[in-house]
Amino acid sequence: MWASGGEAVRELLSTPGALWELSKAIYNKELSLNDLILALGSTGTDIAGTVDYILRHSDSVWFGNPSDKEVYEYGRNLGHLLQTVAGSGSGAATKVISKTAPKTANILSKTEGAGKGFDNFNALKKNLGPAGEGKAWHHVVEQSQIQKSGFSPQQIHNTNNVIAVDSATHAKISGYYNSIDASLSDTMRVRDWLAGQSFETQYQFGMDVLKRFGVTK
Amino acid sequence: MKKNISPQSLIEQYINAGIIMTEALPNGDYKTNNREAKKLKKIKTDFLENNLDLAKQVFAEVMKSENDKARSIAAADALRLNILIEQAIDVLEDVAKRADIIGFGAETSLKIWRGEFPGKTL
Repeated sequence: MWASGGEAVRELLSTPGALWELSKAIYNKELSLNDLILALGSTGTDIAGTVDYILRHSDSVWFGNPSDKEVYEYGRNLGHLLQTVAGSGSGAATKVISKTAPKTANILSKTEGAGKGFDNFNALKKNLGPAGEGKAWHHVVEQSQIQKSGFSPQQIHNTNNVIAVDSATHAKISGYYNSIDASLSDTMRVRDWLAGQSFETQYQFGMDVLKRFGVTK
Repeated sequence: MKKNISPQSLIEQYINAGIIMTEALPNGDYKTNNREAKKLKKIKTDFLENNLDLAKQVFAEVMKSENDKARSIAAADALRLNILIEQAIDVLEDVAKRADIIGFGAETSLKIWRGEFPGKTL
């Protein structure tokens, strides 16, 4: 089982056959993007604009004479769609894709159970509800790593990457990440030192920190 | 211009920094912690990195002190300068037994030293 949707998207990008299969299904209107949106639930509503873009531009990108900018935008939107499906860990969404693009679905299915990812923290909090009295939602891999390490928002704002922590401890842990821990580096703050490490390494680091602050056993 | 400074003064500065960090790090007081970290970095740059005999003298004493954070920083710094390796590893293994974030720092120092964080050196 993969820890994040990002890994699935990376594998998809290195499997041109799967991407072509998916694109063909979209172009031939064999893949029901409306069913896909429904299967993704609230996340699906958020990406309706992305799906609309893909539908409107598939013809010109695949069989027209598109500019570099059009190809780039199309790829960006397709990537966003895939990342959303992978980040959602939604079995229903993967099932919709499997009807017309089994290779793609096979790769995406590895993310089932990987948690549900969102585009931003507000959307995640809306899905999860309050952390509890005197508690805050704490990211195991920090939000700053979207910028610093290039992780996707869906990996970071993911149900598997947050834990309810009492607010005082949350502040202490945030302070630790802002500290130069001279045992790790004599010049870099912890969050800067972590930048560039894999998601899995940073997740394990974050879980270890939670343990050392007495949040988990 | 760098002033002359006694080994004892450097030892005391390391231990004092360790005492302050022991309070600051677990409480998330990064401003206090980082101020001490910058002081130690300056001490290393100004006096120790280019005088390994003095560095050995200072780190050997700090590693024998009572403050675990000072001990583990001295150990990490010794490894950074490739001196007192055995003593440094013994100290880090000892401090790593602590359950708190000070123990975590020592444990992570060892992991970095052993190459368990790709691309990272102490």
